[in-house]
Amino acid sequence: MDFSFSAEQKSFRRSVVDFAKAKLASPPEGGKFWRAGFELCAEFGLTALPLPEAFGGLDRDIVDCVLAMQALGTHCRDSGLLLALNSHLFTCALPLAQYGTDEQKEHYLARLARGEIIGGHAISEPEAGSDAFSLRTRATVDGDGYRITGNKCFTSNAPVADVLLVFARTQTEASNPMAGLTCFIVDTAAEGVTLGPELVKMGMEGAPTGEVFFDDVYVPRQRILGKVGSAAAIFNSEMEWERCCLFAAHLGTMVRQLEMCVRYANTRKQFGQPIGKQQAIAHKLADMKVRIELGELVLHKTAWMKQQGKRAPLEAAITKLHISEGFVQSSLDAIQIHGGNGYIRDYGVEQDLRDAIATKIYSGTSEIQRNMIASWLGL
Amino acid sequence: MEKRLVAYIKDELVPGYDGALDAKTPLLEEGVLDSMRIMRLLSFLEEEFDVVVDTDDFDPENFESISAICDMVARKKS
Repeated sequence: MDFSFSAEQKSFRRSVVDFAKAKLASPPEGGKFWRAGFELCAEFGLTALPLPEAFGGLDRDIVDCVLAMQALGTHCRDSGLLLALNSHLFTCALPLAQYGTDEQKEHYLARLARGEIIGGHAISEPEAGSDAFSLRTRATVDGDGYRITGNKCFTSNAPVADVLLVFARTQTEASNPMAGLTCFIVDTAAEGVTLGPELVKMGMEGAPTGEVFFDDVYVPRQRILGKVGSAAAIFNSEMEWERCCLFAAHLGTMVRQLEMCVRYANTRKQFGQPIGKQQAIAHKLADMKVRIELGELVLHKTAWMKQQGKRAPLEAAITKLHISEGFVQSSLDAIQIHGGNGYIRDYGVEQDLRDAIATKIYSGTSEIQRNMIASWLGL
Repeated sequence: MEKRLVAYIKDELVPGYDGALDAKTPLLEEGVLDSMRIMRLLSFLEEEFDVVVDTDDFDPENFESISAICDMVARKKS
């Protein structure tokens, strides 16, 4: 067993750290999508990380992607931007690279890799959140294509997306809800697509999120991703990547959070000594460290399994659950350690809590992850 | 292969399932396989029979019964 990274991996991680420190450490205020930040990421190649070189990608494997996202999480102060980057890359561009036809790749991949167009994926619906496969958006055959009707909600990147992977039901009489789901590549400029206004969220403000309405939208057959009826497999694959790479970024944020708390605990004095000397504070910091270390172990194991070509749905669920719940708890601890300062917005501590809350909800709620883990136990 | 699959599904996937389970049982229709159990089943198939089930195989017809699953695995091994 070898837990070390190669010199090349360390060098790559270092380059991402240097980039993030130089370019992403001070996002503009205002809680909006930081398009200039996204473009900087694209210039550096972050919008192309796992994509094939033939389309301008860097051909990085999942372990490299995890290392990059961890580095970004630590050194980029805009978690929303990282959520947007994740949606673009791991739930749109990468599935296109994995399952797309040559024509689809030619048409979309190079532009997605360069960040010239922004991608996202649309699956959640008002009546199909955790029960994602019960979605109602319909795609009916029309000549040599399909017509899509329905609406999607909580769609990451929707307000700024140029292209979305849209999950729709092509087989309405299917006995099992996951059967008959098909994934379509839809340009948001297509006739009949309406993008709703950006939703105002509690945190992750830099990740534009909104509704998408499809009114009899014609999509040619050539824009089906994978096979008709194979969308559930594509979705599951996406989620394994997202539960590694996006939550790697959150783990990276937890590292930055801990460093900030340790600095504060070493300098803030009460009762004649740094508060870090108080066992009550020191134990919180120790617990934050344990969450990070265990999160990193399971995250890297999951990424390694995927790198080896294995399925890792259980491991991805454990990774997602552990990091998201740890992120919330560490964010609460960080505020408590900072006392009144932690509650003041200008101090920059409370933002992490508002961001962290979302991580227990998106990419499958904590409850869904526990259901998956329980299912694995035969329950 | 069929016996191993029946045993796996009965013992591991749906240990509390009280219906009959044979090669022709409609697994999707009866709710024996749901999205989570299919993920476990895929891991089992790949480990146990040394095949790779890719997205193109993810056709409901390939999972509608134990017999259909066996056929898919046999096709992949041939």
